[in-house]
Amino acid sequence: MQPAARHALRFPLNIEDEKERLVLSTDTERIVVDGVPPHATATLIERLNAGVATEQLASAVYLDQQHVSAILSVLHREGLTVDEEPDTYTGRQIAALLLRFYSDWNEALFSGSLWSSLANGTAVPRVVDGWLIEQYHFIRGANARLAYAAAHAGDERIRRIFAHHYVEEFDHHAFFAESLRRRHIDPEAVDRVGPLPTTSAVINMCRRAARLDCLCYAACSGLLESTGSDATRARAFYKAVAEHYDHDGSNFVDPLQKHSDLDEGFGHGSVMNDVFGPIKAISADRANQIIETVALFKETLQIWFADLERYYFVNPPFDNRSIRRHYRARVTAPGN
Amino acid sequence: MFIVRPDVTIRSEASRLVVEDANVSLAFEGESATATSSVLQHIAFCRTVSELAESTKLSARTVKSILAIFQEDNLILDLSDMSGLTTHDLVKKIHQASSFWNMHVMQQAFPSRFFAGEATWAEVLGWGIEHYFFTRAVNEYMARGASRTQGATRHLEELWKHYAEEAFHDEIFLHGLEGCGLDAHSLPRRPPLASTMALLNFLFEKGAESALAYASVFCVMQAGAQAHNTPDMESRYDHLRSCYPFASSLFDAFEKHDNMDADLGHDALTIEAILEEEAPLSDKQIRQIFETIEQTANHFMLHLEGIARHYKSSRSVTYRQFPNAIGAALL
Repeated sequence: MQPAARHALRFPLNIEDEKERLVLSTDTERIVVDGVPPHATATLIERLNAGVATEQLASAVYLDQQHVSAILSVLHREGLTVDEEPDTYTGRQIAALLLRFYSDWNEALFSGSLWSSLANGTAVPRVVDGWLIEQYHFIRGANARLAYAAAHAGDERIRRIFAHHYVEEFDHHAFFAESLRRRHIDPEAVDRVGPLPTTSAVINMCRRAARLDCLCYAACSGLLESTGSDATRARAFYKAVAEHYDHDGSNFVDPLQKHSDLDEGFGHGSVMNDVFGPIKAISADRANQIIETVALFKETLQIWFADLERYYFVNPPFDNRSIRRHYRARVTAPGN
Repeated sequence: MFIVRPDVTIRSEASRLVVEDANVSLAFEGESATATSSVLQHIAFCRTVSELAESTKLSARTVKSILAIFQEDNLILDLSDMSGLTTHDLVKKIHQASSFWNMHVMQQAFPSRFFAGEATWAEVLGWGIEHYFFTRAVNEYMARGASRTQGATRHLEELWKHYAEEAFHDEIFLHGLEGCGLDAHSLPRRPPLASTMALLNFLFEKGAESALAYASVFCVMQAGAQAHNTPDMESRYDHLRSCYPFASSLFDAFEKHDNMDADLGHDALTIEAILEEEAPLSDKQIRQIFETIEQTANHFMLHLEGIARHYKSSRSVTYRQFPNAIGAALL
C-alpha cells in the first residue's frame, strides 16, 4: 500500500490576516494570496501543518476536492509547499539553509530598537551600560555553552571543532570587563548582581541545543557567529557607539573592536560550515529538530534584546554598590 | 539584605511619602516620611539593619520599626541575619520568601487581568497550551532533579516520589485542551514559546545544579498551590469557568490536577527533606536557596509575559508552525 501523500509547508510560514484577503508572511516577504477563500485556506494551511494527508484535507476544511486542489496549486506556485518532504538532506544542504536563515534573521534581530538606538545615539546612557553588562555576561557564558557542547558532543570530529572554538573563546570576557571598567563599572559588582534572566535564557537555550544534538548546537552557535563575523558591520556599529557615547574619551569601545578583530581572524564564521559540510546524510526528523532549535534560539535572542532595553531603561543606572537586581519594577523611567 | 517587592511603587506627594502595591497603600508624613524615605533610598545597598542604620543615621530601633510596617504587608522581604537560623526558622523564612515572590508574579499585568476575568479567548487558551508544555517538561527537569542517589534514601525518596507522581500529569491538561476544541493530536508536536522554553531550561539547569537548588524551584510554585488549596478552591475555579466558559474543560483539568496534588501532598514544601540532608547549611547555600526562589519567579514572569505577547488572535491558538528543513530542498 502506498503511503498517503502529504503536502508539506515550507518554514517559516505565518498567517498574518484572513479576514478579507489571505496575507501570509515568511521572514522576508509579505504574501497576499488572491483567488482563494481566505479563512478556508488559512485553515487548510493549519491542517497541512498538523500533518493531515492530502486526500483527507477536503473533509478537514469542509471544501470539495476541486477547491482544495486549486488552493494547493496556488500555495505550490508561490513556493510555500512541497509535494513530499525529502527523507534525508546532505550537510551542505542544511548549512546552505542555515546561512539563508542567518541572513534573514540578522536583519530582523539587529534592526530592532535596541540596536538601532545604540547606533543612532537615541539610547540613554544607562541602556548603553546595560548592553555592555549583559554582553559581558553573555561572552563569559561561552564557558557555560561551548565547553558544555564539547562535553555532550557524541561525534569526535565535531567535539574537536567545539574544543578548538572553546580554546579560542574562553577568555574573551576580559575584553568586555575592560570596556566596563572604562565606563567606571566594576566587573566584580556585575558578577555579584548576575545576568538578566533573559541573558541566562540565551545561554541555557544553547545548552539545551547541546544536550539535544551537537548539530543543534552548531546551528545555534552559527547564528551567533554570523552576527560577529560581519566585521565591516561591527566596525561601523562600534564607531557609531563611540561617537555618540564616548564623550569623556575613555575609549571604552576599543576592547570591543579588538574582540571583533580577533574573532574575524579566528574565522569563527565558518565553524557551522565545518561541522555540517562533510555530513553525507541527515535524516529529515533530525534536520527538522535542528531548524526547530535554531528558530527557538532566534526567538530567545529577540526576547533578550527587548528585555535588556526595557530593564535598563526602567531602572536607575547600574550602581557598583548593588547587591541584586530589581526585576520587573513598577516604576516610571528615571530621568536621563 | 532587604528586598522591596519590585511591583511596589514609592512616590512623594508634597510632604507625604506613599508606598503601595495593588492591594495596600501606606502614607507617611513629616518626620516619619523623611525617615522612611531615607531607609528606602539606602535599602538596596545594605545587608543588615546595622548597615542600614549607619547609612541613614537613624537608630537601629527606628529602622526595624519602619521595616516591620512594610513586612506586615509583604512589601519588604527581610533576608538579613540569615546565619544561625534553626531549620524551623529557615523553613519559615523560605515560606515568607516564596509567598513574597509568588505575589510579585501574580501582581504582573497579565496574571492580574487573567484572574480578574479580563483575558481574551486567545490568551486563556494560550495559557493552557503553554501550561501543558510546562507540565510535560517534568519529564525533563523533574527527571533530572530526581536522577541522584548521593545522600540518605529517606531524604532523596521525596524527590523520586514527587517526580514519579507527576510524570504523566501533562495528559490531564492535554485532555482539558481537547475539550476546548483544540487538536490534541498535533498540539504536542508544536514548539513551546521561547519564553516558556526559557522557564523549562532554567528548571532543568536547577535540577542539574544540586538537590538544594532543585528543591528550591518548587517553593514559588508551592506557595501558589497553598494559596489555591483552600476550601474555596472550587468556587475559585467556578469563577474562572464563569468568566471563561469556553475554557471550562481546561479549568476542570486545573482543578483535577490541584486536587490530585493536594491529595499527594505536593502543595507542601519538598525542600524540608533536602534541608535535613544538607544540614548544616553554609551561608552560601542559604543565599542560593533564596536566589533560586527569586530567579524562579523571574522566569515565571517571562513565561506569562510571553503568553500575552504571542496569543493575540484565534489563529495564534490553533496554528504555530512546526519548523522544518524543507527549504533546504528548494535552494
